[in-house]
Amino acid sequence: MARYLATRIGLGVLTVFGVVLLTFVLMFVVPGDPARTIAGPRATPQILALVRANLHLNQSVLAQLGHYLAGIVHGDLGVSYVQDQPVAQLIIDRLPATIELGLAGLALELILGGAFGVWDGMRPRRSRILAVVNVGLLSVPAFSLAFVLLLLFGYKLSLFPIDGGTGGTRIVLPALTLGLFGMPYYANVVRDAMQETLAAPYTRTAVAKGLPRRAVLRRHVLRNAFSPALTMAGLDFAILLSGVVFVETVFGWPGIGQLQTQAFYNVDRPVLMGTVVVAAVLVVVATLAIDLIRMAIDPRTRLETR
Amino acid sequence: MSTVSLPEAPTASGLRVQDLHVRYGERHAVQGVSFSVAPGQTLAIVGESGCGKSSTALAVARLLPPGASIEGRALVGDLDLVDARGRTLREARGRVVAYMPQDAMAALNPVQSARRQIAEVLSFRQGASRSEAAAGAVALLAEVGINEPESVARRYPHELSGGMRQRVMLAIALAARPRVLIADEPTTALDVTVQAGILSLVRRLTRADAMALVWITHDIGVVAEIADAVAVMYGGRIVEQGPVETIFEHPEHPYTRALVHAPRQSRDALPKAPFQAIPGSPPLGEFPVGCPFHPRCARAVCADDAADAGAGPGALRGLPPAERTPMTTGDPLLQLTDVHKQYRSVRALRGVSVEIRPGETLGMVGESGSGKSTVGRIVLGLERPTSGSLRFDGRPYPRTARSLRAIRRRIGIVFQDPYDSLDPRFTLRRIIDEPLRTHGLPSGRDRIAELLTSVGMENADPDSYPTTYSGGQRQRIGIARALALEPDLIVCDEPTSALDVSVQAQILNLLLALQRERNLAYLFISHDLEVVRRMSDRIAVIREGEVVETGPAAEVTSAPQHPYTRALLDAVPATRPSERHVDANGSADPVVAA
Repeated sequence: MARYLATRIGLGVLTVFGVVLLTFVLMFVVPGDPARTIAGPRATPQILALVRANLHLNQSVLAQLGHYLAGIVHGDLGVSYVQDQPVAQLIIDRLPATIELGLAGLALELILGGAFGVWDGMRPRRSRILAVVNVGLLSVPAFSLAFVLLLLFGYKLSLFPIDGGTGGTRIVLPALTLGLFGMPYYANVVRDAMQETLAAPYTRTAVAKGLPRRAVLRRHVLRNAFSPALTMAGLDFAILLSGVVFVETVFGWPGIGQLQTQAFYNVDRPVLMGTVVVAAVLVVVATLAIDLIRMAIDPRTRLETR
Repeated sequence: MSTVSLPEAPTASGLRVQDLHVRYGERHAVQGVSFSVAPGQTLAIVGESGCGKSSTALAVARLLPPGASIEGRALVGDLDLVDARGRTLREARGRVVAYMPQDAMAALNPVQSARRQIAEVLSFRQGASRSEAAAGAVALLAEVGINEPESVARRYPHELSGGMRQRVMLAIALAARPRVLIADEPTTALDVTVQAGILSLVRRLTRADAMALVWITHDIGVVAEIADAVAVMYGGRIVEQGPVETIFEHPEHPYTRALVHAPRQSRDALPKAPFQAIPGSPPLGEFPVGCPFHPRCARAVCADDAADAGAGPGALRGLPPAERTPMTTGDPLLQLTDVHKQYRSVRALRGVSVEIRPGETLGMVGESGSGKSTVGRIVLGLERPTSGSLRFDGRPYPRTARSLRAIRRRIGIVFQDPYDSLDPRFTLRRIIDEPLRTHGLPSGRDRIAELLTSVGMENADPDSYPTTYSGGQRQRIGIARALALEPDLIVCDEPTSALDVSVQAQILNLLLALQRERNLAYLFISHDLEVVRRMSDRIAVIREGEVVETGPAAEVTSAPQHPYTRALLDAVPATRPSERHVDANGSADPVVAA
């Protein structure tokens, strides 16, 4: 197990390094001069040169990469060109909001999609209701779904505050948007897995034992039927953790996605780089966590350590 | 010997099935089946795929999939299982009737330990406490002959061997002490030595508990070992039933005769002599009117119908006796010297040395995990040995994939499962054409027709798809594909294990005929010692990656030198009840434990 973990962590570090390398190269392809962004349009050549020297921009790409990597090891992601704050601090400030929304969105996806999927999977024929709901949700662009919710529940009915920011019931609408957006995928996956599990020989064995129907479902069907949804949730969680731009923008949710968008418009290279690096780390951690959970649930995926 | 009379089941328990019908929509799979089994007795229902035996089993156990309908009666005492609904049915499950399926790996929940799966029967059905149920599960594992029940109880299905999994299934089936046990081919996927152990175990336990046992099988040898009475099913009906001695010694129905006589005639036949085959293949879906067997029956007035499906060179009944192909003495075509193969920590092959001369068949026999299929893959150049030398036609196997192609062109393969090994989206033409095209060889309409004719499929439309053909016909298509490149050697990896008994003989005859015509060499891989004996010039017995014995087929099987070869021979099921290894009380000759 220790060896497995060490390998996985090593691979994770390599992955993050690869991501850093790639984004670093991309940053230099992006047009625009950071020194000019910082110093303003009327800066003299002397000031520009000074800014460049401060940010090591006058050095070679390789040297700059070296500086950046050395910084990461010390938890230093550089300083924002625009906000004049350490990038690490900016990200840490926003991480709790992102994690909160990510978890809430994921939970709603799983609960809504899981409930619909189980209900539909137990029917002999596919339900029309679910089909309509699925197609409806899939065909509505995510941001218009967000706007509909915002207008209906926030503005018309005034059920939830829509002043932006976190706290209280402010999380309901953005989380619901994510939940409804992801629900059809989970509903389909769980439904198919339910049908497969219900027809599986081991379910027949459970019936042959004379177990009550509810015990058959709870003990034998559900655990197996949720296995594929769990794999999907792992990938989803990683995506949600790296920030969901449209939801954060519509609802004014101060998460990493928002930070990233701003940085993008301002060509704020250190912040952009920082969010990408943090996202990469989170994805690596989330996939490892999901694999460990899978091992706990499905003994077939466990390592041969007996 | 047990005294056997066809039981009338006077006691309250025992099973009486009357005029049972099963329909899947339009398809009438079981058409009025009646039989009865007394407590402590064993009825074997024997038949081929699609004959309705499994539908009968599932109907009596009330485990048919949704959409199937049952009519008739299945009485255990006063309870009619066909009529049981709701709570009555649930109460009857496990306690009145229990079911043991063929594929234990699929029938056990992959994410639960053996203990949990057995214990839940005890806790739900008998109100046992958590600790009582756990202890009960271990006791049941001990009862089904598992040596370290505490340790096995903790394991998950994928951590158990095939034999142990089937024993766990048996423990589940017996946990609520049923009056009737329906066993649906539970030993089919097991090695013969393991099968023998399970057969005697089930027989002993059902006798001791005065349980009525219905054993579904396609294997007449298993019937001879275990049954008190036999029902022979064909085309959705029981064509003949009676006490086991009567069925084996005085069979009435032509199909029963063919089934019962085939293994006996086989035992007496010389290696490479043609097999007794029933032409055609068992009906699927639509059953014929009248006796369902008549299209394949030699005694039927109009037997011509038989000629269409899969008849051909190999299916002919009156093949001339085999001219013993003289032992070829030329240089070996294929030569493996001290071949080792290691997969991580598993030593799959530990120094295998065999050779095959042109026109010769080397039979390679062994149980699952013995390494026999690894040898096949190495010969085909699909895998490289860890060490050892490999020569084809005097030259060593080349290292690069590109130069391996030249060798691959001269070695064909026939796969085990004709359902999986033909792409359902390819036409026959494309299937047979593919190797020709890959190697840049001329093909065309005539070549395809010629190849189809050579495997007895001259009436097949080259533009049809394999899904429209039966298993036997598909295997013929697979053989045509192997012949396309005119190979010198064909690797046959269990070529008949997925086929019905009556169809197996046709395919084996076809292989024998093709060998004579074309001077083909075969590497014939199988777990079935009897088939290997009949097909081979020489036999190599392989066990745990080592060849323990090689020699001429007749010598190896009549005077085995190695104890393992003897054990394999002993575990081959009897051909008649009087020779059974399993005695009346179910104790068997010592066999390798699962």
